[in-house]
Amino acid sequence: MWSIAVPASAMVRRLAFRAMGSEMALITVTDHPDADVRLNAARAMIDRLEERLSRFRASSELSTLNAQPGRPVRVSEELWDVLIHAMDGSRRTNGLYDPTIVGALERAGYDRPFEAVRGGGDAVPPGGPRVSWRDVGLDCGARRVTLPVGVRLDFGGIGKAWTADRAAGALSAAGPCLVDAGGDIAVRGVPAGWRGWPVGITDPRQPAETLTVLAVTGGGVATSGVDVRRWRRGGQMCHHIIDPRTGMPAATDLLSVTVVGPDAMEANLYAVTTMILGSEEGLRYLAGQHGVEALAVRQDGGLRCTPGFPAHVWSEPRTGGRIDA
Amino acid sequence: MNARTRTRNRGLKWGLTAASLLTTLLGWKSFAATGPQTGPAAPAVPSAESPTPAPSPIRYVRMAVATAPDGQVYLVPLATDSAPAPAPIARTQSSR
Repeated sequence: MWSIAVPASAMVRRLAFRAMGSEMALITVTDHPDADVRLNAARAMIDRLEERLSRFRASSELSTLNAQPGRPVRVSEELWDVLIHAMDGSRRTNGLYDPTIVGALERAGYDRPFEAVRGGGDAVPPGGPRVSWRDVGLDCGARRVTLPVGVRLDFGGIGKAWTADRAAGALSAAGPCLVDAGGDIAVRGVPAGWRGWPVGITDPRQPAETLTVLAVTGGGVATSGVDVRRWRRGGQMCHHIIDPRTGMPAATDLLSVTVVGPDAMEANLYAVTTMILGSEEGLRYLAGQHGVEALAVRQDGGLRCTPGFPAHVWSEPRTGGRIDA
Repeated sequence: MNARTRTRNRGLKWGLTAASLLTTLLGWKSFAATGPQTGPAAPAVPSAESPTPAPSPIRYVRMAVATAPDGQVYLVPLATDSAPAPAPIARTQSSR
């Protein structure tokens, strides 16, 4: 078994727990005397952010905002920050990522924490005319948000990835660190002597297998897919990735997409967008974005990637051979 | 036991010994000429020239299809057998 040479003075510290409906892990390699204190502080930060951002907690700040449509509501700095990033992501993806799709998610059956989602029932009904992220009112000076009547927000994986970035930023004061928020990963710094953080990409067809291992030196990695969070309704397969253009679970030829980007939130944003667009259009779209590379697994098992993706693979890539496909 | 009996037993012993030797020799000759006729093949024994196990002739390397901006399509490896990766310290996957 290959092993990483860890300096004798540095220790790998890991704190694992469950939050935001996912498995979380905080990892740091450091001999900093306050490392354990900072790990626990980062965990407390995640718990606090979950209390702000969860749409499944009636007491959360997001639920409070969603319950007050039609009037301006002043929000916390954290909620404002993730909202601004989400809206900017919507703008840059031309609305393919949209935090206002809660109604479509619930219509598809994702109306409770995923562990409690049950299949069955009638087919997903088509949605009527709907508003979008463009209809959300923002008062930047006063940090106030006005949701149109009938509109609620859910940041989904973007919120979780944003949380990973925030936690990594805080934990990095103790030394190089990696924050794993249910598969969305934020990295700050690389331990001395390491080539990068070895991050495996789970094979969506065989979850016990690893497709490949990345050497992550910074930024973030995120995977979006329909291999886990899916259920059946009316004999039709449903999943949690909604195509805002149709208001229905995206009709995609992809099973999962892994994106390496400047941070976990950007990686998640582009992973979701690529899932919606499908393999051909999605990877073409990514090629026009700066600083992101991706590996996509199609439902037929085919693997597609952007030209720069192999540079992130741990093993030295060999020169590829041209094919006619 | 009288002298005649001892002579007869000694002859029987020598006869059995000779028959045993002959059977062994014939059997060896038959084996050397044609090898074993039945049963599983003998296990391969590493030669003295290769004291370490030979690598498996089948090395599976996952390949992905990449499309360059100019539209050219390439096969790129996701791992090589020359530089194995370490065990992952974390895994990226769709939400669990």
